[in-house]
Amino acid sequence: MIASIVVVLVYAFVAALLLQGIRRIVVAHSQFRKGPSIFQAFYDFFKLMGKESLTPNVTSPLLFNLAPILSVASMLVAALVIPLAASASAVGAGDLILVIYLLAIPPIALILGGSASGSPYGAIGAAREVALLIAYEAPFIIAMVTVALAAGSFELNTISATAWITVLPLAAIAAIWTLPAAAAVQPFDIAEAETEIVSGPYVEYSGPNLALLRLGQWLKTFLYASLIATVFFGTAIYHFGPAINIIIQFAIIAVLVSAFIAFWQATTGRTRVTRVLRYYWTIPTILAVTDLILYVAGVRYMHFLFGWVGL
Amino acid sequence: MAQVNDRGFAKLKVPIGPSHPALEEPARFLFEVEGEKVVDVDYEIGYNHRSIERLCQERPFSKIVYLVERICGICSHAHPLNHVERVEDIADIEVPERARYIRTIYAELERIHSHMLWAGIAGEEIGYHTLFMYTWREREKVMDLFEMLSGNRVMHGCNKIGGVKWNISDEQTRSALGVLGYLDTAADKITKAVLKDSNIAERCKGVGCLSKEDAIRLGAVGPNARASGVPEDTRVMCKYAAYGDFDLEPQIAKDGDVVAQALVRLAELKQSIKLTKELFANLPEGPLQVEYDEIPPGRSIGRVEAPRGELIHYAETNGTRFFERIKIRSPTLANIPSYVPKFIGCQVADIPIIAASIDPCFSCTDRVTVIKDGRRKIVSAQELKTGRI
Repeated sequence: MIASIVVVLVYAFVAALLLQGIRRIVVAHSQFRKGPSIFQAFYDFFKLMGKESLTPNVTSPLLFNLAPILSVASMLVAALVIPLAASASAVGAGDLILVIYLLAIPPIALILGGSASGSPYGAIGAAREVALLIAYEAPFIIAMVTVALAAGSFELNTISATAWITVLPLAAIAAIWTLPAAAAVQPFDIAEAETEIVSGPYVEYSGPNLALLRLGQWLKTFLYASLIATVFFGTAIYHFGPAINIIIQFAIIAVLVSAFIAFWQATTGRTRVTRVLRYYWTIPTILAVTDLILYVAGVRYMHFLFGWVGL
Repeated sequence: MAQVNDRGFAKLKVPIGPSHPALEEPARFLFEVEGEKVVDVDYEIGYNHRSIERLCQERPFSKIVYLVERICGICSHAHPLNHVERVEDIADIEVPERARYIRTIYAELERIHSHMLWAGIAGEEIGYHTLFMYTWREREKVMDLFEMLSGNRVMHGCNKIGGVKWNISDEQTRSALGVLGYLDTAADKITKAVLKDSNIAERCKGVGCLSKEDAIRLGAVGPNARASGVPEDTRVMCKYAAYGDFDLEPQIAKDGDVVAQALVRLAELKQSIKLTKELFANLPEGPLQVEYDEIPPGRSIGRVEAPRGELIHYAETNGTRFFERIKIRSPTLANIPSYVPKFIGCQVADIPIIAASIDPCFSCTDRVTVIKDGRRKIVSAQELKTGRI
C-alpha cells in the first residue's frame, strides 16, 4: 500500500514537471526558438528549494506560508484519488466531487497567498485569479456532472470504464476547452501577467515557498489533464503492463497539453480579465449545458450519427 | 493601506517602476487604481541622467559626434545626423550629394528596425511572445545589413562633420536591395499578423486614446502625434539630408489608440522600405566628404525625424575647439505628457501596452536631475520660474 502510494506520488511529480518541459519546448519551437531543456522545471524546482524563503513584514505570516503547502498537499491527495494509468482510485464513492474540490485548491491557495502578501500586485493578481476560477470552473463542472449523470455514479472507477468522449463529445470539448485556463498560461495568465502586475500573487514569494507554489500549479495542470483523459478517454486502453500503461497515459496527456495549452499559448496574447467570464460562460458553457439537456431528454445523438460503427 | 471611497471601491496606489518588467528603462509611474480602473497617474523621469550636454561642452568637436551617437542605442544615427547638420550649418559646409544620400539610407534603415522593434515590444507587452520573436527575427536582417554597410550593428559611426565615413559599394547595393525585397514581404506579413488578429484588436482597439486636440495641446510628436491625425513629419517639413529629393506623405491615422499607432508605424515601415530601395537605386556618384578649416562662432537649431519623432538639437560655438552649449530634446520628452490622457480611464491590464505605445526611450530623455539632501526632488513650474529649486 505504502509502496504504491509512493510510486503514484513520484509519478505525478515527475510527470507534472516533464509536462512543463514539453510545453515550453513546443512553445519555443513555434516561436523559432530552441527552448530550454525538457528537465528545466526540475532544475528550477530544486534550485528554488535550496534558496532562502523570505516573509515580508506586512504579511500575515501564517496564511502566507501556509498557502504553498496547502496547494501542494491538496494536489498530492488528488494524485491518489484520480486513477493514474491503470491504478484504481483510492477513495471510492463520490470521489469525482472530491477531485473537483481538490483541483480548486491551488488557485484558492494563490488567492490566499496573494492577498496575504501585502503587495498591491498580489492583491490585483488574487482578484484576477478569483475571476478566472469562477469563469472556467462553471463549464468544467457542468461537463463533469453530465458525465456523472450519464454514468449513473460519481465514482471515478465506474465512470472511467467508458470513454465518454464517444457519448458526450460536446461535454468533452467544453472540458478540454478549460485546459488553458486551468494551466494559467496565455491567454489566461492574467493572474500572473508579468508585464502588467509583475507575476501577481507570486511576487513576494521566494525560495522553497515559491517552488511549492509553482509545483502546486504544475501538478494541477497535470492532474487536470489526467482527469480529463481518464474521464473522457476511459481506462479501457490501459490493459498492458504497468510501465506501458503509464507511458500511454503520459502520451495522451502530453498531446492534450501540447495541442490545447502550448499551441494556444504560442498563438495568442494575454486576454483581459473582463473578457474571461464572457469567454467561458458563452460557448464552452453552452456546449456543456447542451449535452446535459440532450442527455436528460434522452437524445443519444452520437448513436444516431455513428450507430453504424458500433458506438 | 487601501482606502475605500464613496463609491465603495478600494483605492490602491500601484507603483510601476522605476524598475518594472513592462518598462525597458527606468521611469516611475504611480497609478491610482479603483478595482481594475486607473483614475489618476503621476510620472517621474530622470533616473538615468548621464550629463551628455555637459560632456559635450568639455570635449573637442571631433569627439562630440561619437558622444551624441551614444545617447540612444536605437536612434544612434538620428542624433549624430542632427548634430553634424548643426555644425555644418554654423560653418556653412556644403555636404556632397552622395554623403547626403548615404546619411538618408542609414536614417531610413534605422526607422525600419526601430518600428519592427516596436511591433515586437508591443506584442510582448500584451503577452504575445510569438509576435515578439517573429518581428525580432526579421529585424535581425536589418541589423545584418547595418553590419555589412558599416561594420557595426548599432553604433554605425557613419557621420562626420562634412560628410560620411563609409562608402556603399555596388556589391553592397545589390545585396541590400535583396534584403529590402525580403523585408518588404516580411513587413506585409507583420502587418497582416498585427491587424487581422482578433486578440490584438480586442486588447488594443480604443485603448490609450489621444484626441487630435490633446495631441496638439500636449505637444506630441512623431508617430504618436500622427496616430491622432496630426500630419506632422519633420522629414516632409524640414527636408534635411536627401529628403528634399523624394515625395513623402506623412502617414496618419485618426483614432489615436494603440491600433492607430500600429497602423502609422506599419505604414511608415512600408514607406521606409520603399524609400530606401529608391535611395539605393539612385545613389549619386561623387566624393564622400569635404574638408573644412575651422568652425566659426555661431548657433544653429534644427529638427530631424528620429524613429520616435521630432528630435531637436541646438548647437552654439564660440570660435574655440569646444562648444559653448549643446542642447538636445529627444522625442520621448515631448511625448511623455500625452501619457496622462492615455492612462486615465484605462484598465490596469492596459498599462504596459499604453506605456509601450509611444515607443518611449526614457534614458535618452533625461537631461536634468535635481538632488537635494540626498533625495531626488520634483521641481514644479513655479519653482522653475522663480529659480528657487
